[in-house]
Amino acid sequence: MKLPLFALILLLVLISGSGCAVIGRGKDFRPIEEKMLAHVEPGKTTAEDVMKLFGPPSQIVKLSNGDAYIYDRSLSKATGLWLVFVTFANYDTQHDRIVFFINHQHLVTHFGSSFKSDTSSYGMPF
Amino acid sequence: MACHFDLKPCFALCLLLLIPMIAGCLNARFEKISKGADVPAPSTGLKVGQATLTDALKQYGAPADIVDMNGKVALIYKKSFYQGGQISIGIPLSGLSFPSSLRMEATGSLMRHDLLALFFTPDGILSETMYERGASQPFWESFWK
Repeated sequence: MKLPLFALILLLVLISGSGCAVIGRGKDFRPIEEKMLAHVEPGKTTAEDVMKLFGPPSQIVKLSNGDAYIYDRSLSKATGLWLVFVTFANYDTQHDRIVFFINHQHLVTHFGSSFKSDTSSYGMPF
Repeated sequence: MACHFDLKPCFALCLLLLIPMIAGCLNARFEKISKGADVPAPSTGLKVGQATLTDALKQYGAPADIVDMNGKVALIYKKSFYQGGQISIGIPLSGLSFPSSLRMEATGSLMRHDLLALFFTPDGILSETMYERGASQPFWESFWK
C-alpha cells in the first residue's frame, strides 16, 4: 500500500512544530499611586508625610545633603515557545518609580516619577 | 525484473521516527531579556551650569540609581538589553553501558546597556552629562569585539 506523501510531510511538520507555548506575568507590587503625588509639595511635605502617603521606601540612599527615598515596583512579562528543536524565550521588565530628595530638615526638596510598567510586553526574541 | 519500490514514503517514515528520537539531543535556544524603559538622549534643553535637579527630574522622571559622590549627586537612567543563544548536540549513551555520553554545546550571550548619567553639584545644578547608547551597537560586532 502506497502511503500518501502529503500526509507524511504534514505529520513531519506537525511533529517538528509540536511543543508548548508559555506566557507568564510577574509583579513586584507596592501600593504606590501616581495620583498621590498631587499631595506632595517640595519645601512643605515632610519625610513623615511621604511615608504616610506611600509607605516605607524600597530603598534609602544616603546623600551628603540629606536622603533619597526610592519607591519601586515592577511588572515582568515572559513569553516562551518550546518546539522540538528550537526554544525561544523573551522577558520584558518595566518599573514604576518615585524618588524623593529629602534634606536634613526632613523636607522634600525635589521629587521625580516614572510610571512605565504598563509598557511591559509579551513578544518573541527576534 | 525492475523493482518499483517507492523510496520516498520510506524516507519520510524514517524521518518521522528519527525526529522524536533525536528531539532531546539537538536543541537551539534563543532568548532576549530587556529591563527598563528606553533611555532618551540628553536634551538640549538641559544646559550644563543652568539646569537644575528639578528640571532633570521633570524631564526624565525617576532614575534607576542615585549615587552620592562626596557631595555631588549622580542620577543614572539605564536600560539593559540581553541577548543569548545556545546550540547543543548530545547523544546520551550512558544508559547503553558506555562510560560517557557525547555532548557538544556552543553558547553565547551579550548584555548591552543604554545609559544616561546626570551629575549635579551639591546645590542641585547640572555639572556634567554622560550618555551611551549600547543597545544600538551592532550585535555581532559587539559580541566579537
